Amino acid sequence: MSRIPELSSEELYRKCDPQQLGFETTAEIEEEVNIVGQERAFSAISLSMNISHPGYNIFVLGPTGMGKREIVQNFFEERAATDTTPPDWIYVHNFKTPDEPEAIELPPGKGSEYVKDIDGLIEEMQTALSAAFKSEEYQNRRQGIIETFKEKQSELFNDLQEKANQKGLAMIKTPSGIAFAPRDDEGVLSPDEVNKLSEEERDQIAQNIKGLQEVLQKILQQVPVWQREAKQEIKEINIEMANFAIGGLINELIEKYNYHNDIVEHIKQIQDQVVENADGFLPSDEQEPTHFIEVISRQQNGGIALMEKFKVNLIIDNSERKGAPVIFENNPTYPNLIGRVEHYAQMGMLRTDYRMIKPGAMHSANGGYLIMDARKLLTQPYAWEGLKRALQSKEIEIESIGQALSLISTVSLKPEPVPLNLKIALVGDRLLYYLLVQYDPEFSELFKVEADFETEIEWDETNQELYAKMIATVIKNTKTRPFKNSAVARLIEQSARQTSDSERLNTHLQDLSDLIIESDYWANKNGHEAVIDLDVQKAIDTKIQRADRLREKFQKSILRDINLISTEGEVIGQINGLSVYSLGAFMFGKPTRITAQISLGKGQVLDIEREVETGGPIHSKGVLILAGFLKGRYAQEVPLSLSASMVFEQSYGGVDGDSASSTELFALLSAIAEVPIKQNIAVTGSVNQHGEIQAIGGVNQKVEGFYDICKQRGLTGNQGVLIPKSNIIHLMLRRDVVKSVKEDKFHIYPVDHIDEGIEILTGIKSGEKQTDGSYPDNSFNAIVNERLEYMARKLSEFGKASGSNSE
Amino acid sequence: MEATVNKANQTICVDRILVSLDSSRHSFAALQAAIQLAHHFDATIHGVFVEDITLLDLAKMPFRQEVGEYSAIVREFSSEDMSRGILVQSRWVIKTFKKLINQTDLQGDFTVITGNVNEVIANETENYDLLVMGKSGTNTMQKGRLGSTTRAIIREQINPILIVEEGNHLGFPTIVLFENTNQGMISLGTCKSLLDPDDTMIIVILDDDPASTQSKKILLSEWASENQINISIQSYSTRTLSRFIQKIRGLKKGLFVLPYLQNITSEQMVNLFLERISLPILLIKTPTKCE
Repeated sequence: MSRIPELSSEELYRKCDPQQLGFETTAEIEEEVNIVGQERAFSAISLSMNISHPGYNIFVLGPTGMGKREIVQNFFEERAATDTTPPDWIYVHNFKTPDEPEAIELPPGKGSEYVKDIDGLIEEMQTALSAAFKSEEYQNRRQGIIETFKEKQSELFNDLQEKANQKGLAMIKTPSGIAFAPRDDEGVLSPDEVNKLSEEERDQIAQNIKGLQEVLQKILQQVPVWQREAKQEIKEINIEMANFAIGGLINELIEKYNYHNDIVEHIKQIQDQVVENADGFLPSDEQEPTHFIEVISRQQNGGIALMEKFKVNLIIDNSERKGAPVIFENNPTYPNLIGRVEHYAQMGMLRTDYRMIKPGAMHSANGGYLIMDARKLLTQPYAWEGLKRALQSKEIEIESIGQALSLISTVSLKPEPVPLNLKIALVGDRLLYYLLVQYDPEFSELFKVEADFETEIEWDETNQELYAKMIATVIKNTKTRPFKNSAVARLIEQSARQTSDSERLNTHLQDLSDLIIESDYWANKNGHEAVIDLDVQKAIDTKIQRADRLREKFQKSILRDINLISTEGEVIGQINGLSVYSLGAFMFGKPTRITAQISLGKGQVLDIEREVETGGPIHSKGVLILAGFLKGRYAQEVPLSLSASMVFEQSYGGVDGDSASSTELFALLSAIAEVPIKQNIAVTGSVNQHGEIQAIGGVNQKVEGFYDICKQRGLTGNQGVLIPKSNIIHLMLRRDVVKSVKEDKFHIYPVDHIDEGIEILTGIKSGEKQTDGSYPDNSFNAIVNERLEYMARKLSEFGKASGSNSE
Repeated sequence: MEATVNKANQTICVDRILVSLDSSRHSFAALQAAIQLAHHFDATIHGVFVEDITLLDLAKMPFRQEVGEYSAIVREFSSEDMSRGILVQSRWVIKTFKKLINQTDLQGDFTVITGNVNEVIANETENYDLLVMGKSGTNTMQKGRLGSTTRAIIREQINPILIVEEGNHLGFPTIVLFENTNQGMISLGTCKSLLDPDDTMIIVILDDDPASTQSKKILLSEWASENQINISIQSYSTRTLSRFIQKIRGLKKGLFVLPYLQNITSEQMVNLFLERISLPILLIKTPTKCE
């Protein structure tokens, strides 16, 4: 075995030299590095921020936990600080079309000032109007009009009464009108007394009554005319008084806001409304309402209700802001994004007005930057559609979902849309981005810039230094104790292990942050002032321990010979394959016995996993490649006259991937050649039709999976794993594995070709094809060739004997 | 004189209040005032609506025609029409009465009686301590403020009567006309009992003799001091009475307590006040007093 090339312990693990880091503890590092190796993403964000044209919004893509949101937010905040502060926005009542409140833009800080001014105006108007309408001048003028009306009315009725008296008639009020009846000094005559009158007398009475009725009719027709005139006169006085009372207040405010036409218009509308509805401000002598209908009726009418309509709803107040806003909306529901019109319950009814308009995140971020989680946005009903509609129309239109979908037809508010000027960053994973690109044709128009975050960076000297600084920054941010350089080195090594690549480092900040926090915990428990490498190792080990219940169960099953795995001896057509299990972020390897059986046949290689539909398509592809290899190498002169079956023994949960295709090929060749395979060696690697062994994933976990079984059974010194040579750079094996290799107790064999592997597994030289097409005597390939020729002959003989065509 | 003023701690005795109701605004104001007084005296309230026999008789006459109050249309009416119209009015009045009474913890009942309004009220009032009624009825055509029915009842009744005009309420100021008679003393005592402790009672002296006026002022001041009440005395002569009327004619809230003597001078003066001022007026006639 010693002649077989195998990897040294140094090649199994890339160590980070603490001394190269240039510090003793992270406390010495002052420079802050928040991210490493994201130049591509930074460039994209920068481009987006510098192009103000529509659609240059950003989709920041990459796995979760990389700090994408913080990074983009930092970019935005840095830029926003020097941007112009956006305007304030208010909603005011629309007196012409009350269900369409008006939106008015004001310079930053002027919104809150206008709110105060209008509140002050309302208060002062109430006082001024109340004083005006309570004044003696007003009361006397008003009373004069009323008295004049009553006097005129009374005069006519008195004349009529006089005429009636002269004609011996009484004027009587009936429930619905006025009647006349004959009377004497004692009062109205009774019906009997009337009946006793002569016909002439009765006729005379009737004639008199008719004459009086005509006069009464004229009076009653005249009364409403006078009433209207009196009302009009009162109204004119009201207007005069109201104008006088509030004119000064209004003019003062118009003067203050004369630079803003919309505001001046609003103030003038207030004045017009007060004057037009001056009656509503008259002192009321009404009693307390006794029924809720009266309460509502009074609330909906009168001066107080009108004053409420003058108030201003300040939806965006930038008075305290310096620069542009940067908003992160953590709950991007449709109403949280677009804004909403709320309702309040009143006497069992839901009511609303322009003061119940509430802004959404787009209003708050307008003129600045808005950041959202793409997944959250897409999972909220209609939020994505609402966002796109706003971006396309370049305005924010507040509309409930029900209205937007025409599900409800009740009258509600339709606030005037607010112009939109916003840079949006959506943060999400790559899958979402590519799904959106593929299935939403509008997406690419609205999010033209993709900021793709690298999950790995190259582990070179420069990046190692930056990475160490980034670790120090995370340590500072997480407020944990300083890390010694050995601990930082261990973190860097673990980072490479996480990428399954000794030449790459993981940029996933969340993993790093978690490991730092847990290492700090163990340092604290161990009484270390600064975290050392053992604390980091402890954190790694305990993290694995927390997750490895299933791994332990599998291993025990093998050690108890329930799952049959041999780690010594030799067997024909049987080999130890290696598979990887993923449980969330935790991966572990497990040896699996693979067997092959052959018989005479027509060159088919039967994949039992595929036959029972427990094998995935990639695994099936790998098995078909084996057949291709056999045909290419051994069936050029003689037909491949065998039938082979392959199976992963004791596998019940399904198999996929082609990382065991070389393993299966070794088992098959062993079965064909009837040469036993060493069971102390496990194999991983995919193979192509030329017999070249190709890289696979999870090489570290696979090696460690077999090592753990061997170690627990007792290392014999000749156990090991055969891996593809191209996987050497991925090796970041556990320290115990490295130690065993160093002590020559375990071996890692890198191979390029199936022929190299067969020599290690069987101890027989594979043998190179000679110019005449044959293989050297006693070489493995020669044995296989002979066996295949033998099988072809046997099949041919059998065919002739049975009269069938052996073609 | 001194002995008489001492009687000024006597008040009218009110355990049962009769309120005469029709569908006019005056009568609604009367009902509200009656409720206030019932609270004050801890009295019960009895409402009465009179189905006017004159109206029912009217429908039996050959000239059974009316002119619509708002439409000005002349139309005939039958007995059924008239009965139905009166029934509608009575139902509305009963509903209003019950609604207001139910908002209080007072005891109250209601009666509908058919007959001559004056006679019915006169008969009913005999069983009650105080009659409350509106200044005029539903008839809008009468000259002046006092309705004919009210005028007749005032003239004929002997029990205290509270007259209330539409839109007016009981409250402050409380004004009393001082007269050196039994009715005057009870009026003063009643006014005192109706006064809130912190309020000032306005006492009006109407006397053409300055010496007599001064004497009355001294006595009233002593009386007020003994009874620890705030008073404000205002004196007028027959010549200057119009000034007083002018001063209070615009008031819509308060109470004017007026002793009523069965003589022509007193009757003329009461009529003058009833015609010229709007405040609720409590007329105290026969001294049914409580010690």
